Amino acid sequence: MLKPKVISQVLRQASTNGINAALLMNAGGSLLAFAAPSDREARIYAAIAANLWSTYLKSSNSDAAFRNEKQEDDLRLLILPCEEGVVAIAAPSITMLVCLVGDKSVDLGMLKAKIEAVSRHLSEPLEKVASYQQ
Amino acid sequence: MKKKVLLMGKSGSGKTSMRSIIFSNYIARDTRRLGATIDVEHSNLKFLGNLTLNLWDCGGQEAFMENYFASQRDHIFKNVEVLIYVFDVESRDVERDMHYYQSCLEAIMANSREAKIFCLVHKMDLVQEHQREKMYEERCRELRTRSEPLKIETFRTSIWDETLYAAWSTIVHALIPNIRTLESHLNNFCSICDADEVVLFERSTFLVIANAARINHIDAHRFEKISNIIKQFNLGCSRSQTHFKSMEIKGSSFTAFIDVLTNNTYVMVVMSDPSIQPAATLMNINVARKHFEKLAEP
Amino acid sequence: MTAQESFQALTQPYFEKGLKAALLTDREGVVVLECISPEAPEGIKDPALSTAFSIANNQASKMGLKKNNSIIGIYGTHQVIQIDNYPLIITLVALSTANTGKYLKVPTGNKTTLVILIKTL
Repeated sequence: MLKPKVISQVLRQASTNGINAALLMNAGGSLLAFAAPSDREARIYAAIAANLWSTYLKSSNSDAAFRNEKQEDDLRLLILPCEEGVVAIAAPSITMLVCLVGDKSVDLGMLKAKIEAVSRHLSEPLEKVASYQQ
Repeated sequence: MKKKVLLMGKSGSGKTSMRSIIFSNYIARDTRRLGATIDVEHSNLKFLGNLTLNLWDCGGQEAFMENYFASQRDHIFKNVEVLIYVFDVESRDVERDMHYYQSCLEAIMANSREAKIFCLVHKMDLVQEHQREKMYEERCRELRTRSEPLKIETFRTSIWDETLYAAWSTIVHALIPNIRTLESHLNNFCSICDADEVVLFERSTFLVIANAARINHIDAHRFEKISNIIKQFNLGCSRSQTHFKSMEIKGSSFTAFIDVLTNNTYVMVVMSDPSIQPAATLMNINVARKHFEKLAEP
Repeated sequence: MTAQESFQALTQPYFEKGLKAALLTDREGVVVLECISPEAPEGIKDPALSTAFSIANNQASKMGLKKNNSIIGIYGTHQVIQIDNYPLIITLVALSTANTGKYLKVPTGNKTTLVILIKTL
């Protein structure tokens, strides 16, 4: 089982140095825990991020290149630089997504390292939960 | 596991009515249709999957009663796990009621020493409100003295409110074999998801089986009220040929989730921390489901 | 110089630094220009990738961070960098270990050449 408060704490730790929001959501975009300036923003980020991820997941499943070696070459991470900030999305378990939203100052390499760290940190407990949900 | 439950009391005291409400989805006003029970009506009620209540609803007319104590004595009073004795609070012949009650206790003592005994002072709605407490206390005192040396548990009940659920919840609680384990797991579940309260209901009767709480709540009868309300709602659902699976109720200071837990139970989780997302709670209920299913296996 | 040749010239330095494929497509995935090395993963020309970009590019622009410029998808062994050059999309494919930042500089550093290229088409 998940302790929502512990996860919130992990996400709060990630939202420093230009990262404004850190979210954990399910594949449908429902928030499980977050650290963000407001509930409203968190909900919007979660809904869009889940959509973005599923769009790319679908495309890579239909894409011959990535179908060949599906196991090794599945989608790990999405980074979306925008004019006023940057979004990163990763999947710590098959049913869950983490999303970080940073401002313009955030270095892409740092963002990548950070989301990989958060995702790795959450993946073990989340995989355990996911195995129970099947 | 089959447990024999005797339901006894004077004719017209309301035994069959309460049984029909709790186990056969009657609503209180439907019980007017019920006639007097002839001899003994047996019913096997599946409860929590592996537990079956073998309920003996014993018609209370004097001719039958005499028979129970004489020719059918062994047959009726052997291997009883629970005796539920129903008293009509409005009865005019209290002495006679007590006489039958005591004969019944004698037979129980001789045949099923370990049986748990519950006395329901029923039809409390007929007593004027300001007299209820006093009246009930008096009856209890008398019942206790008359029952000695046996220990009894008493309840005031009415089919028109949640008191009936409170009494029957306590009764079935006493019958569930692994209740302690169930309670400790429920406590764990409650603290892991930071819930205020977690309540386990039996699926078809909606009787409260167990609960765990991390806060004190002022209303001691809230679960029975919820049982009552949800059961009514469920009956409404079945009239339109559907069953409800889960619901989420948002109040100004809390959110309550009611969801199917195992094949035989519903769970209610009450959360008051607004920082905990509903999806997280729902996921934890999902995880708990597998766990409790394993626990429920015989 | 044909458009294909100038595209090749434009992307050549990046191939030397490990780029596996460079494509210029429209939003439905129709390839306009391409340079693909033999080591590139098969089926990289699948239009699904471009349509995914056009949907995601549009959605990501609604997150309150103004316009989305590019999307980097990192897979187990490859990374796909898609850069918006409305109405066209530049798609670059490299190993997932490659330095992403280097490739992202393609449109800004060579914008003029590219704009001319796109216009001539």
